Formats: sequence, C-alpha cells, structure tokens
Amino acid sequence: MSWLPSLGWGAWLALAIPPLAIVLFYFLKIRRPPVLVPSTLLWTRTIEDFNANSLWQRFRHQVLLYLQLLAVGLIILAALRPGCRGTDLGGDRFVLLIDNSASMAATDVKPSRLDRAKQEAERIVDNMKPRDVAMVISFSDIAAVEQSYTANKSRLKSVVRSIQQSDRYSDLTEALKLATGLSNVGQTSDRESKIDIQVAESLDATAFVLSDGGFARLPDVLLGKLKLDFRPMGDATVFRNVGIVACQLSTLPELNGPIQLFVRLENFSPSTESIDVSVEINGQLCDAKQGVSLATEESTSIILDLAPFIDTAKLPAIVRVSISPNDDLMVDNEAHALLAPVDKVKMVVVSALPSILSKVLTTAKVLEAAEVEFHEPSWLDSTEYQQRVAARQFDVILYDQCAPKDLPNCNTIFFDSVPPANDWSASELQFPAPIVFSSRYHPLVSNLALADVLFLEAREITGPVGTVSLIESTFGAMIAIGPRGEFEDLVIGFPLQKLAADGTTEMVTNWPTRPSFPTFFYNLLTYQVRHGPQRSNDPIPPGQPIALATSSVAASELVIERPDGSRVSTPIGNSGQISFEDTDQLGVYRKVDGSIRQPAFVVNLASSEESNIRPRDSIDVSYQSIAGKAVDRDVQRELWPWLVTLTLIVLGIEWYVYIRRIKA
Amino acid sequence: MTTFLDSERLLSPELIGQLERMELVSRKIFRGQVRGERRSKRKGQSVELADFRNYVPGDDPRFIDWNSFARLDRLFLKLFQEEEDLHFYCLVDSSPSMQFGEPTKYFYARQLAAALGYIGLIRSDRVKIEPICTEIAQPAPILRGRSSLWRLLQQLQSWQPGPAISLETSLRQFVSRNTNKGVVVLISDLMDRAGYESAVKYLVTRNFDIYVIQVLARAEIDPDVTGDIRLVDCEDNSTMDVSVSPWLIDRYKQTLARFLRHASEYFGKRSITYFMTTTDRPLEQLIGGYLRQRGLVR
Repeated sequence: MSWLPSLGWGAWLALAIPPLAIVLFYFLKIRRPPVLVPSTLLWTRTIEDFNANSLWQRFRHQVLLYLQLLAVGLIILAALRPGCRGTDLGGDRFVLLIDNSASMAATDVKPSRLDRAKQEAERIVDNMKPRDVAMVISFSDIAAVEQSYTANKSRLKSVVRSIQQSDRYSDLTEALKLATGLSNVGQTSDRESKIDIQVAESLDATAFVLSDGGFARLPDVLLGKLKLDFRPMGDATVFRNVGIVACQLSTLPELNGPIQLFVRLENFSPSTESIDVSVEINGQLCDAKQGVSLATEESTSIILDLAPFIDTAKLPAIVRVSISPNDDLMVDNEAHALLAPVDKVKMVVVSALPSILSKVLTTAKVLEAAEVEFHEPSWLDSTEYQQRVAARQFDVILYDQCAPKDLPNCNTIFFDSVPPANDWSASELQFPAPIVFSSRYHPLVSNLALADVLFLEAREITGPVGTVSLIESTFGAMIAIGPRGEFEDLVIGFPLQKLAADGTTEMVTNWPTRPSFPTFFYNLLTYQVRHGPQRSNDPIPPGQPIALATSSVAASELVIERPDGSRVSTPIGNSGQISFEDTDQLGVYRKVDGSIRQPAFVVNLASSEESNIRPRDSIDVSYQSIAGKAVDRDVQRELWPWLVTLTLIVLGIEWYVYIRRIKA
Repeated sequence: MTTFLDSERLLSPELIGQLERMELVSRKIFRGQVRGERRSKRKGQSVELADFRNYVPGDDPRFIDWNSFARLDRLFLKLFQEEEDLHFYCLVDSSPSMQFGEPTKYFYARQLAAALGYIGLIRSDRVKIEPICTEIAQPAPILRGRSSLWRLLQQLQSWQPGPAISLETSLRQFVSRNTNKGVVVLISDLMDRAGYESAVKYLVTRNFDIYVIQVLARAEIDPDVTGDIRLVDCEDNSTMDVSVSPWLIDRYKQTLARFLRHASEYFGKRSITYFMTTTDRPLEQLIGGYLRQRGLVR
C-alpha cells in the first residue's frame, strides 16, 4: 500500500479539521431530556470507572458519530489516493490479436495454446480500466474482426471464448493491417499512395499478439501509432512434434509408370524421436515403416512406389499417410494424396492452313495434356460449333487468320486476327518487325529463346485495359494477352504463313523452325492447365481457393462435401466452373452428384512453419524484433474509487440508523 | 385530617386480621418501663424464679424461701423474673427519594411501619414511629395498646416532609432523644450520598436490636430509560449526563448488585438483620413470609 501524493503539514492539519468538527458538532447538537431519578448514587458509581476519562465515556455507543467519522475518514483516505501494486496494460485502446492457426492446437500447454491464448486475453480484458476499449481480431493466414472497439468486458470475453481453432497457416500480416487500419484511422491503406485523406485523429493503441510466433512470412506493415506487445504461447521446454511436411503423388496414372508417393517428415522436437509411418490406400493398409529415427530438427524423405497397390482402372484412389506416436500437434500427423484421372485440355484449332499447327499440336507431349481438334474456318458458321461452344466443351479455341462472330465462353487464341470486340484492334502489317522486348515474367513466353527468330512483318496489337504485352517490336506489341471476364484472349499479330498470289503458301517468319515454337505451344497448354479448372491431383494448403469444373452441362450448382461431412453447394457460372473457397479443413473433399461421391481434391497442412511449434522468443515485424514478455508492467493501482463507494455505503447506513432513531 | 379510607389504605382489614396473630420478637432483653408481657432485666413478681439472695432486714418476708431455711438454717430471699413492656421504634425514611415508585417507596414504608406498629400495639409494646431524614417539629408520641391504632395511623398520614437532612444526622438526633433501648426497625432506601454506615453506628453503639429493611422501587432495579438523557437527582438536584444503552444498563445492575451485597455483608457483621424488598411485593407476603423468616415477627 502506498500513498500519493505525500502531504505537507498544512494539508494534514486541514484533513484533521473535518473529523474534529464532526465530533464538536456532534456533542453540540445533543439535547438531553432531563429525567428525574430518586438518586444518582448508583448511576455515579456505575460510570465512575469512566469518570477519569469522561470524554471517552461520551464516545461510547455513539453509532452515528462513529459512522460519520468513518465516512470522513474514508474520504480523507480517498483524497490521499491510496494504491496498491498492480499491473497495467499501458494505454487505453487495445487490440487483441489471437492466433488460431494450426500450430495453436499444440497441447504442450494444457489444454492447448489457443485456450491459453484465450485465458491470457481474458486476463488482459480483466486488467482493463473502466474506460479502456479493446477489439478482438482472430487470425491465421486471414484475419477476422471478431469484435470491434468496445469497453464491454463481458462482451469481449465472450467473443474471445468463442474463437475457434482452425487448420490454416499463420500469417500476422493481414491481422496487423486490420489493426493498424483501425487504429491509424484516416490513412489510406496504400502505402505508396500520395493521397492521404485525414478523416480523424489517429490514436495510440496497443496490440497484444497472442501467438506462438510461427509465421509463414515476416509481416511488413507500417505500424504507425500501433504498439505491439507479443505474448508468446507455448512451453519451450516440453514441446514435442514430428510432422508430415510434404505428401505428394508424383506421376500420372495414364502412363502406366511408377506411382511414387513422396512423404517428407521433419522432427521439430528438442530430442530425437522414433516414429512409425503407415500408408493406407482407400482405407486399406498397404505399407508401413517402423522406428524411423529422427534427430532434432532433422528431416527425412520416404518414397514409396504405390503402383502395385493401385489399380489404375479403379481410380480415384485416396492415399492416407499417418505417423505415430501422438505428439503435441496432431493435425500434421496425417496427410492425404489423391490419385484421380486428370481431364485433358480440350483445344480446337480453326485454320485454313493447319499444316504447321497440326505438326506442333499433335506431338506426344502435347497429347498427354490435351485433346486437339482441327476445323476449317467455315466450321464457325455450323450449328455444331454453336452447340458445342454453348455446351462449354472447349477450354481454348485457336482462330488462325479467322474470327468468330461472337467470342465463345472459353479462352481464345487469335493468329493474325483480332477478337470481335471493340477494344481489340490491329494495325496493318508492318515491315520489318524485329523483336525488341520479350516478357520475362509471363509464363507463356518467359523461358522462350527468341534470339534467332525473325519476323518479316507483323501487326501492332492493342487491347482492352489490363492487356499485357508479351512480345514487342519497334512499333509496339506483336503478341498481347488481355482479360475478358473470367477468360483470356491471346492475340498474335502475325500469320505463321500466308497464301501467295499464285496460291502457294509462303512463310512470314522462321519461328516454326525454331525450338521455341513448340515450347510456346506447350506453355500454352500448361498455362491452360494451371489457370483453368482444377486438373491436378496435387494437395492444396488449407484455405486456398480452388477452381473446380463440372462435367454436367445441365447442372446449375456444384455440391462439395467437406471432410467433416458438411456439404457446400455453389452456383456454377457461365464458364462451367466454380471457385471453391471453403477449404479450411484438412482431408479429402468430394464432389457430390446425387448419390455419387467422387473425391475432388485433398487439403494437407504440409507446412514446415506450422509444424515447427517451437515457441518463438520474439517476432520480427517491419524489420524490428519484438521480444515476447509474459507479464504486464507493475503500476500503482488506484483504490480511491472503492473508498468513495464505501463512503457512500457508510453514509447510507448512517442515514438508516438516524431514521430509525427518530422513529423510535 | 385522617379519614377512614386513608387509614384503610395503609392497613387493609385482611392485613389487620393477619397481624392480630403476630408479635414482635426481640433477640435481646431490655428493661421496660411498665409491666408488660416481655421478660425484663429487672427482678420482679412474676411466677418465673430468677435467683436467690441473702435476706436483709426490711425485705418482704413473703419471698423468703422457707424450704432453704429448713435445710440450711439461713434466710434466703427468692427473686422472680420481672415482665415488662418492649420499646419498639420504627424509623421511616421520609427523604424525597422515597417518593418514587408505584406505589411510592414512602407509602410502602409507611404501610410497613403501620403494620409493625400495630403488632407492637396489640402486644402492649411501647411503639414509636418516627420519620427520619427530615426535620421534625416535635418527636413522635409513644403509643401503647390496641386503642392507639387510630392515633398511629393518623400520625403516619399526617407526616409532612420538612427540609431534608442526612441519615446520619437524623439517627444521631434519634438516639439522643430516645435513651430507652429496644427494637429499631429502619425502613429506608439507603440512598444517602454520605452513606449509611456512619449513621447506623449510632444505633449499634446504643445496643438496639436493629432491623434494616431497604425498600426499592422496581424502576430502580430495572431502569426504564434509554438514549441520551440528563439524570436529575431529586434530593440535591445534581445532574448527570449519560447515554443509556443496554451495555450501561448491565453495568448499572452490576453496581446495584454490588451495593446490595455490600449492605448485606456490612449489616451481617454487626448482627443487624437486613433485607431488601421492592414496592411491588405484597405487604402480606413481606410480613408473613420474609419478616417472620428473619425473626422480626412470629
């Protein structure tokens, strides 16, 4: 207990006056009714013990006096600002950033790191002063404002308790952006923007990061007036974890080659661990390894040939890999891989001179990934074309020196022609057309060797907003790709060959004779694979959206069953695809079509950062290291509000006693 | 002027009927003045032989013991026990403090004095009832015989309290006026600031057979006051401010018990019969029970 501030003699004397005045007035106000008695002899003897100190005798049993003195004493005490040692959060606006990523499910601290973070958050809320406000943000690789700024402690604690564990990766960046955006109000979120409209005064705020610190990337956020306070969760002395950090099938079943399962294990425990690995295919145990010894921070890879165990005629097959014994983090002790037939890219080439294209698009490499049809330009007017385009049977259509009346609902490639849209245009053929620029970043042309490629003539291509120039000549873009809703149009401003006046074909460029030409078309197909609907069996990380296509033209929605059995139906767009985003759970997701449940994709944690549950001592934010601390700073905690409250209660009792005396 | 109703109020017919069968008892033998019903220190002419002495000329030859003369050939005179009357004094405290209680202590004390005096009268004792602790104009008369009852009652009714004097002064004056020894019954509340000890010494030194009856009102034993009050002493008008609470009442009762215990011890050591009564105790019960138990009457 301490007192603030220390008083001088004058102040002490001034404080002594009120109680003395009360005593004085108390005795002045007493009117004693005279009572005639036979003799005061016995009364005198009764109180003669107190005659030596008659003042004290008068003090006895004066309840009102005591209550009044007590009230004044309490007020004096309150004026002295008594306090006791306590903890202070430092500030009056707080942001509770609670990590609910996969690693927070670790049970090295009981019941779990997330529960411990919630307890710490509730303790912080309890330590808030009455007018302090706080907000709650839960974060993994995404951040959610669970509760905006409020001083309602019960509400804050209720929200904190309701935060659920997720299986996603951990990334503080989004949460910090949210926190800084809400604390540094009036600033634009774009750091590069010169426009900064000040709409309100920024206020200081303290953000408590309740996390184990295992972030996938270092946050680089301008904190402004936001002060970070890192509260590390976890016990650095007892944690144990061995995780599956990679699980993948490495080949396509159509090749009838080896089906290799690649599993990578890593030991994050501070001691050597011996683990057992088991592999199941469609629920049947097919292989196991016992006693795989892993030293601390050591990893090992396991490669299994699953071809003997998988009948490629009965695909799909679900491969489940699990390790034992149990450790502090269970979600990385299991991983899945999916082996399913992959849909090929459906490509149509509409060309009057298909000789060169047919050669390059009928190679074995191309046919592994695509089915290619060739048609004359007159086919564009046929009913078949219209019906098949309407039925979304093509992924990409290549128009060589021709163009459709309307753009189809798929990706397109135009050779020496432009899409029938106002925002695309092409100039006349210009000569010469040397290559002066080639994009190093776009996957279509990034790895092409074009040094020995010559173009006699080419057109300058201009496209809609968002069009990217892939190859440029002195006059402008020769090859450009532009967006069209959910599709892309690739426009190439030169013909591969053209008809001469005598009816023969003549080459305009030597590109078809160079190695970069088939590479360009292979890139074209793989680009379709990667950017089209899901055609790969590769596992995806939790939370990552995935594009899914339906084979049913008539279906209006696609139903996906999640690993926990819940189903999500999503309307299918014009493209026949959906973008599925509810991939929070780890495991196998299935397409549901009536009674048929077909595995669609798998979600694995497979993250070295999440499996590494070693609690971090500090976190790096914007290149600053913020050390973790477990306790709040000691402060003087004021007690005067309680004393004033007590004074009011005492005065209430005094009034009650007084009323009772009057009535008596 | 004493009326019959007033007299009746002091002694009810039922009580008088009860008193008829009683007599005062003296633990000591005193000399009386006239012949009566009680043994005297004098030798007289009763039938009870007291002693012998040598005959001297002039003695009444009727009292010579002729049997002794026949055996011893000497003349002896027979002495007989004389029977005389008893002096009975009843002193009633008439100080202002006796005016409290329901009925007042003063009334109760006079009732008691009348009852005891009546017992004395019917046994032919010399009864004298005097007020004390007050100036008296003239000493009370000595009454004797049943016929003096109405004088006794008239006297008790006609007492007018004069200026208060202390118990000590009052008893000193009493013993100086009354040299004849006998039974003294002191009826008082004993609430004298100077104390009762020095006053009672005057009676003790004169070898009276002393009875002290302390009369207290119920309100003195169990005070019915509370809160912040000013106590005013009715005798000397002295004041005293007290804040009466249950705690203080308890203290008062302890003090009273100590006071009574001290009186009992003090009087007991001096062979004085003492007991305390309250004004709400019926007189019949007091006389027929307590006083008979203590030996004042039988």
